[in-house]
Amino acid sequence: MSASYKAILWNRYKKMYDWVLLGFVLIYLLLFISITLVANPEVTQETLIIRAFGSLAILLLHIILMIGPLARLNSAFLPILYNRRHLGVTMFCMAAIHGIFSIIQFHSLGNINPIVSVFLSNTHYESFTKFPFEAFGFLALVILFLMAITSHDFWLHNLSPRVWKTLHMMVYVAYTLIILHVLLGVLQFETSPMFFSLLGLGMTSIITLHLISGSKEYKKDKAIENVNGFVRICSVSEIEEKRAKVVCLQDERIAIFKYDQKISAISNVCKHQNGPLGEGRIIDGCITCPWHGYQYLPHNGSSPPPFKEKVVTYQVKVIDDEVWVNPKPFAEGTTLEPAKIIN
Amino acid sequence: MAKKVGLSEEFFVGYLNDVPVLTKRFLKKTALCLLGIILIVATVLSLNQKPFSNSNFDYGIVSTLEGHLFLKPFPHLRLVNTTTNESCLLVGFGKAGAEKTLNEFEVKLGHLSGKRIRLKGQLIHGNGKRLLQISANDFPELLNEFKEETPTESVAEKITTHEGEIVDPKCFFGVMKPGEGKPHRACAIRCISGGIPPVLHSATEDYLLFDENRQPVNREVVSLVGDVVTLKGRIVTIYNWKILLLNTDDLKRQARAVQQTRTFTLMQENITLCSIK
Ligand code: HEM
Ligand code: FES
Repeated sequence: MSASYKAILWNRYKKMYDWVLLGFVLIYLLLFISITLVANPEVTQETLIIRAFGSLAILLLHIILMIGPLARLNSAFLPILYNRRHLGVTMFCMAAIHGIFSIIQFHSLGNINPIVSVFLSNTHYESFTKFPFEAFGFLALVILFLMAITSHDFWLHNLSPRVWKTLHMMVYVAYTLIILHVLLGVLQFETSPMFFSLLGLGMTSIITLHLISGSKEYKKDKAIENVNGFVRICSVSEIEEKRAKVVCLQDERIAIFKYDQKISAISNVCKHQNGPLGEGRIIDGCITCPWHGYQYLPHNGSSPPPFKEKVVTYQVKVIDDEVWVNPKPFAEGTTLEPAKIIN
Repeated sequence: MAKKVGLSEEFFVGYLNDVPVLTKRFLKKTALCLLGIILIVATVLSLNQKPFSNSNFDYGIVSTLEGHLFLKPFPHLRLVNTTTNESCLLVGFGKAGAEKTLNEFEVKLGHLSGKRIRLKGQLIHGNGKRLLQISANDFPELLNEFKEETPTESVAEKITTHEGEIVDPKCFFGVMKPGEGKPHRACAIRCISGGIPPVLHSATEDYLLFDENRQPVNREVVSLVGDVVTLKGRIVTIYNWKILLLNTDDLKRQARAVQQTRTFTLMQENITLCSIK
């Protein structure tokens, strides 16, 4: 909550998360390598490394991409989302080991620069099946690299939220590139239908989860009735005490909180890492972000002193037990009188 | 007595140390599911890889071979002290042919073609063939015995047709597994561009490829590497190696056809979607 980006400290949960992650990584690598060595002992060390790390990276990427929609569908998944950046950086490291070993093995010690070789050895860019699949892998790795180095809070504070968000939405571009990388690469060589099936299963799960969570959000967002600039949202009883309802008005997400017989509305987007404030709660009189616990006062959208974070606020009215919100935002940190609930 | 709370009532904030009980239980279950997925994926992927060839690269082990060195049509060492009809194909360090290293040896030792030498290097062996990777650091020993400048060979009467994949022999005979197919295409292109003579790997035999004048065809075959091609030529046998002497016009026509027909093929079924000439 401080202006410094070092606010989030290591704690038991965070350490546990990383130990479990490290355990999963080691178990996967050990299992892949030992089964291959037993079933297929003629394998070379290089191929073993390239394949173990490449396949682990794509598995982790699938898990990462599923957490988002799962957490939207069921908030019990939120704690996994909370440390997702560690998953992301781990995935990048696995992909980087795979990529670097591939470049050393297949592209170095030749008569041209290894990076140039990734793009210009196989030049069948006109063909689908012969396409230089390594180029897709390389571009994906560049995107993952940019995401990994900007995942630190430092960048979140120094890049505008829009730039940061756009950069991190690029993960879907990277995912597409990696699917093509595998489809036009190793799957043109391997013959077992298992590879196609697993890849298909992974892609289907990700697309389906995104569609389901997307359509749920869309339905929630269908607000109507506009009087004097105010939009009718719901009845007072539909919002739980110390909790919020999230609506999307004029492309902005608004969190409407009920507390102590009052209703206030502020931006749904946390200043820390764009966490969903509306999925948080009011603790000790402050709206508390579910991701890392940044806090804001409901009536002015400002973090309690000495912290300096501020979000935009919205005017609220309660008329005949109905909540109305004006979608025109007030400047960040503007104090607005909460609407009183009269019983 | 504490009020019972459901999972959705619990509120977890990342910076707080204590994860609520039900959340903890849910996270444990999720972690177990993930563990299951990881075990299944690792097992399925590792068990379904194509088997690897039993060829090998004696990486880091220096062997010494003695024989007569021939530079044409490809650098090879006809082994002595062996009862077999074996000659060892020479390649350079990395993705390069042996010529550059041999030239460096010749600067010091004079003309080497046809001479008996003791050569050090790292062996590559597979599919009944042996190759030696030589490096400028492992200087050969010149033995004073001269044979002839050209190896004994037998040339087939007829021109025959052979189907197979063009690979580079260094990777294919042992340095890499897989040393063929799509994942290896770029590497084979680098090796062949670097002067390692191309090989046509067919179901029955592996042929080194040269033109009718026994000149290299590396440049001409580059766009055909990694695909199944059909090549016509006369077979020449040099010790335990078979060479296919190709008609260069034929080869150029095939290479041009591949480069000019911009055909987008869908998966491996070769469904032609569109063709731009
Ligand atoms: C510099 C970038 C990259 C290069 C040069 C590269 C190269 C390769 C090569 C040559 C193969 C085939 C290896 C084989 O014979 O099995 C391969 C396969 C694969 N790559 Fe990449 N890759 C790169 C980046 C990536 C990235 C970022 C991912 C992300 C997850 C990835 C995922 C995979 C997977 C899952 C496979 C199939 C498993 C395997 O064969 O290793 N690659 N890659
Ligand atoms: S506290 Fe980190 S996003 Fe809100």
